[in-house]
Amino acid sequence: MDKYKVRIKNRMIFDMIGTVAFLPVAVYALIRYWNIEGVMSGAPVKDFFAGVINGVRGAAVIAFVIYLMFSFVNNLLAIRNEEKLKKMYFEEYDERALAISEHSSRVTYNITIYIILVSCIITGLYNTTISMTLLVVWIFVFLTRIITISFYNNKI
Amino acid sequence: MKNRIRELRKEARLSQEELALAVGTTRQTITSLEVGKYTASLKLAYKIAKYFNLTIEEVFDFEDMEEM
Repeated sequence: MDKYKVRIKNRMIFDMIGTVAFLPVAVYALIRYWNIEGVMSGAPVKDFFAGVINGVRGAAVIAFVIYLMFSFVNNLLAIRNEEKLKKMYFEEYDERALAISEHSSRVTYNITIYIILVSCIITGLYNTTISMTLLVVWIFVFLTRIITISFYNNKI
Repeated sequence: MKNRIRELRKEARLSQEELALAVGTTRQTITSLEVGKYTASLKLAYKIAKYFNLTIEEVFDFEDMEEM
């Protein structure tokens, strides 16, 4: 449990650095949201879509900062409360959760690899550049899978 | 895999949460084990059996596996 405590403390440092680094960006994004009506009034349609994309980016940064803050507080409470820390440890290293994660990763990999391959073939009929890019991605993902399997085959 | 976890837990008047904390897992895992949706690892099976002062075979039913 002492090792886990050190890990939690490291996470808190990461949360703090992340919050300090991204908070100004989040505040800036928030201010832009408040002024959105002023910015958008009379804007052409293409600017509207640009605004939506920027808005989504801003929302992502705000959500990330909120997550970091929440994580920091949660970790702080766990460090101060042995019972909560124990529960958190069990939740993190629960074998069923790990099994779910493994199954989910496998299914995600299989779906991704087939979708990229099918997309590669379909785009090949229209655009060679996109098709070749997808092929490179497919090869990269496939090779990564083979290398990791080989690595864990020797390790486990 | 069938097991006697629910029966033993009820006999010991424990909640799923209490048993989970005692054997180092989560309430959800205990629920899944009790309904037979999840098969425990050897380590968890040992911890559960040890908690009830029983052997693994007394808690878990291996007959299904033998049929395979």
